Amino acid sequence: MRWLILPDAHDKILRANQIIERESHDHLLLLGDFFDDFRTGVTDAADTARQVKRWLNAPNTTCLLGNHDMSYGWGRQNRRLICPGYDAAKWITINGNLTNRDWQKFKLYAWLEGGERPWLVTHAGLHPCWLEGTEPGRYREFIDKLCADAWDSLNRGEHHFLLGRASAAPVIRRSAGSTGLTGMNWFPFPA
Amino acid sequence: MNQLVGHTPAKAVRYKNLPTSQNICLDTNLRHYAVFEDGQVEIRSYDDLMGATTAK
Repeated sequence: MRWLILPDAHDKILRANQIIERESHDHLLLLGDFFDDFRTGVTDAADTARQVKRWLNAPNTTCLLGNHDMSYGWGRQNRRLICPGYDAAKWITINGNLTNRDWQKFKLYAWLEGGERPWLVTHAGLHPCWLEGTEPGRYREFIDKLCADAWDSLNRGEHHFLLGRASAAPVIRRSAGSTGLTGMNWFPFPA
Repeated sequence: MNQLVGHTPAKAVRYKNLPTSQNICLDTNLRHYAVFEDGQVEIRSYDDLMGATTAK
């Protein structure tokens, strides 16, 4: 199985499709943040939304949910999910193309198997502190359950620490401290 | 467990190798992407891809 993995597109749909058309693959995995290039507007958002809808409904394609996507899919139920770059006019055009059924096809994570260790693929990463107290052999089971809980909370309009920004994330692990801890759609890659 | 992520843009792909994990951030404004096959992650360049296909 050959996976093609594309990071944040942010409205660069032409470039994404150039890669997809030229690089052979069995499965396409898109890491989220399809929307909100700060130099683009409503027309670009509409083009992106139409393409994202095709990807969400295509076979052998997985779309992960980025914070800028969550902003348009769930930001009106939970204002804490709204990102810089959010625009009400874009919301209208994006949600004119993507239905609730489409939004439900996003995934929070994917596993890639086959090497010495499995690869967890998410939009922004899972801080190791969330895994404290879990045996490495049970990481997968733990993460599957954690993400299922986060997804349910998202759809109920409730906050979940795994999808929150630093200021909203409760300290559930002692070593995590009280600052700089974010969920897996916001976590900045360490410098 | 290794991790592959986007989200934090930079000019280059970033790697953080720890004793028990490899971690890669792929977000370079779509200048790079990855191919995963047979358990291996390979980072590739958009410019190289386009140069190669244009030259054909």
